[in-house]
Amino acid sequence: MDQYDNAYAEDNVYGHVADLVARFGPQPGSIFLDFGCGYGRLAEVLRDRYQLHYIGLDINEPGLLSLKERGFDTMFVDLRDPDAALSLIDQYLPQASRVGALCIIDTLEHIAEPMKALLMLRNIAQRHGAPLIISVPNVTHRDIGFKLAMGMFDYTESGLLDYTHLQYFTEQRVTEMMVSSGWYEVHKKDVLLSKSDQYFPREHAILSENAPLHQLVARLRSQVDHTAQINQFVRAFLPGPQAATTLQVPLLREREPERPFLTVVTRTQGRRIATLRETLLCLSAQTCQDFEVCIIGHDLDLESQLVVERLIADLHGSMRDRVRLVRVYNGSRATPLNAGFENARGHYVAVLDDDDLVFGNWVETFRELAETHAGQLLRLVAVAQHWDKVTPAHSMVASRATGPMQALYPEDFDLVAHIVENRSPLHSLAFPRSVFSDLKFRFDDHLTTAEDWDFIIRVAPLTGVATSKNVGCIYRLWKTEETSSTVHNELEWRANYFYTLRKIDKTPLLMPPGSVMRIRNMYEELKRLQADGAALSHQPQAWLPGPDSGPDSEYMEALRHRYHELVHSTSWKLTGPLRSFVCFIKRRRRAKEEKIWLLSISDLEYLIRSIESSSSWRKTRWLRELSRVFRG
Amino acid sequence: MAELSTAPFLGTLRVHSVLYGNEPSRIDQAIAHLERAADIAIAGGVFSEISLVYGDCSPTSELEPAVVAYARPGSALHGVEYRYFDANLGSAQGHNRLLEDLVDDYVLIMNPDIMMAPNALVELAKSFVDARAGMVEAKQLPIEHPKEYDLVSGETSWAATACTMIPTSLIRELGGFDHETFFLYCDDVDFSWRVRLAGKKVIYRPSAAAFHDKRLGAKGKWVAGAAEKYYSAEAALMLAYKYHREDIVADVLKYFRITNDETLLAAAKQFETRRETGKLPMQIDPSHKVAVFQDGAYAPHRFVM
Repeated sequence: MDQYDNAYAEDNVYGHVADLVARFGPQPGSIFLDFGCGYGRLAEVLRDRYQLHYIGLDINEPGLLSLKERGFDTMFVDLRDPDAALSLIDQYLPQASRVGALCIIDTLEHIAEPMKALLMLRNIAQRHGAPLIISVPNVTHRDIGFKLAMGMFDYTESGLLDYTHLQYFTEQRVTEMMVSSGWYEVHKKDVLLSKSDQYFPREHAILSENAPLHQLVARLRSQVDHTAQINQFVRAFLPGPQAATTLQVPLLREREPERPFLTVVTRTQGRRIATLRETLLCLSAQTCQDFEVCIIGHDLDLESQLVVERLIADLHGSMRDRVRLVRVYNGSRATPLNAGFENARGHYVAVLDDDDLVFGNWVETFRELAETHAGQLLRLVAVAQHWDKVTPAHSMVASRATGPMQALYPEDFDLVAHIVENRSPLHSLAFPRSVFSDLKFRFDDHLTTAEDWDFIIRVAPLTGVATSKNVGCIYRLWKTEETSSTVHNELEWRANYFYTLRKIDKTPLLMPPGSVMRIRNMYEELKRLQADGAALSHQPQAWLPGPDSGPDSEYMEALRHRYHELVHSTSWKLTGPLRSFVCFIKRRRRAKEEKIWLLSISDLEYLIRSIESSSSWRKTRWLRELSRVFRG
Repeated sequence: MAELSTAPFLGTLRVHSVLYGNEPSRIDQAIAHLERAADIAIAGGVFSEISLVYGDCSPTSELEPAVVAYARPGSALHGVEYRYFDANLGSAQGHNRLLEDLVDDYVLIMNPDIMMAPNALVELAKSFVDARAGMVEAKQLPIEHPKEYDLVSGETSWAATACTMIPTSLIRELGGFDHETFFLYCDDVDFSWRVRLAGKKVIYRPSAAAFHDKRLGAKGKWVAGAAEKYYSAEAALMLAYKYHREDIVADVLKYFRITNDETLLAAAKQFETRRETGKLPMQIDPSHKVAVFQDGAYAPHRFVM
């Protein structure tokens, strides 16, 4: 049996084509031209179901013979010579005949210049106002892509990788090719196959649905678009004008189009104009100006829109030219972020909200990191600072720092720590735009809080994180202003938190190099902590590395050092009686002395924050200042 | 435009800036920011004319092209001038040189790496609605100075000349900066206190933002360079002496000696040499009317950096 002689079935390409034909309500008796008909297994259905006059056209003589034997008209037509083919068809078709529809099933991929054939088909279709139905194999089926990534490209006698194919089609290429040939898609009914004819060897971990490797890449692939399991694109088109930018060879890509290094996405609701001006000033003063700014106005009313536009107009020329306002309405906190990333043109995208401050080397640090770590998530160090709003005489509202810089965020990116809680303000990061544009990661619209954390911990495992120890930005902790942490209640935060964790838990997680030792050490540490008092004194075997080895240990050590420094400082000791007295008056239990070796990073961070923000610490500031001034 | 309505008309303004080995690209950026701020201030009717003069203390005059490139027709800056000093005069003397031929109504003393917000000149000018305003300072970003100021009037102990507007009449009356005493640091503190002794106010304007490219070290700590450490230590002694605070001079000298830090010891030695050779400044403010020495700073601070 011929490898191209496939029987008709409602759920294969023939059934799908027949269904699409029906959508046009073909006139009984009209001609149906089936180009590259092969054995024409559609013929009976079109004749019997729609009373169409079926004509099969091909160079495959056994196929044409089969059709003839079954009582159908046929023509020997070679699509590689479209002019001769058209001339033959025009001679063959009766003058008064009406062509109701055309199709070309699994044939275009065998032709060196498919656009020429499509232009010829358009010539016929335009004269009769007839639709064209095409079917082409999908080269982006996940079975092909996954195997190719593992070094396999298996030609077969027929199917997705038929060894005689001259063309390979993605959905985008189909669209561009058709539009360039003057065809406009009106219907589609693609053939889906989760396991295509390329699904072999079935035990391969990249193909087996039970394998974590497959699960990871399959989830990523399905996130990119809907074509992962499409076997053939089966689409119906109507003829129309050829696109102005007709391409001779569709979809030739520029390798590296000209782009700014960074797109800065700035969300604003138009309520913080004074700080937005400061944010823009920080940007226009950057040492590296290789960036553009996309201000996303979220739910701006007309008045606010005009004020934001005024701010942009006020910028100096070379900065103003790189700033644009995009307005979005409704949606969650994620909506403007997605709009910003959607509009971004830079190689990287960073988010700088309308109350954020950055240092002069913010862009420069990201760019330096990108030069050696292209494609990775980039991170620099953020510090936190308390700020307030003031309104001096003859002045609009202004911002005012009310506290020192606080090193609340670690210098290094620890994925495990970030899964527990976010330790990276969004403006301390720059994301490769590709994760949005190519891998189709989106800020989750479902989330009302922590949409940034959700995005970070989904992206970071895939891209890895390149870090710089440069302090690049300030996270402003507002005393009086409404922030996401004040607007949303604890329950909502927790609900969103676990929603994200569950989402991530659905697929395998990639861990950075060094994680095996880290997990092993964490496990050992957990066992130690869970053990009884006797076991607490148990020392790990001498040949095993200690639980604190690894990149986190430096930070842990620094925290321990700081905590020790604080609780043993003169001023803390001096104010001890005062704290005891306050506890007595307020009938509170006096804080116990913590066992420093049992404290986790977050415990230590919490205790340090508590001490540094306590009134007794603040009241003894003067004691520490004199020596600090000239310490140098 | 409502923002502009309370800004008075102040006449003409000249901007002074002293260079020393700066990055040409940063000078270029600073002028672009100033030019735009000038454009908006002139359009808003605050100044009729704004010009810019650089004095260069660098070893060579190679920064001249970066500056004169901005002296172009159609600019909001009426003139952009470059003067090569051929000597490292320090900021105080550098500014005094530039002040010699100043005829404009106001002067803005500005560091060459300051990038002004577009509305900064207008915002600074607003404080001169108060006839007693003698010195109006912009808010520096991203690191805001922690000195305390009155939340309504903006009055404060002293103003940094990183970006400060002063009426020419007042700076003339006070004889400019005390460059005999101060080379790099505290010349602005001293000038501010003399402004206040003259009965004028020193005002901090948080709505006038100016980006000053300062960085933080590891863990967000302030890291002073060697020059900053030496000259600020030397200036601290001179300032305390000038404002009749021998008690502080003694404490600071004692502290410098205890630290055994080479830089601080050098500053102490320089002070002692000046004392021995009679080169200390004339003392003023005997009743401690304006001078503030608190927790090692020259104003009450809201927090410690």
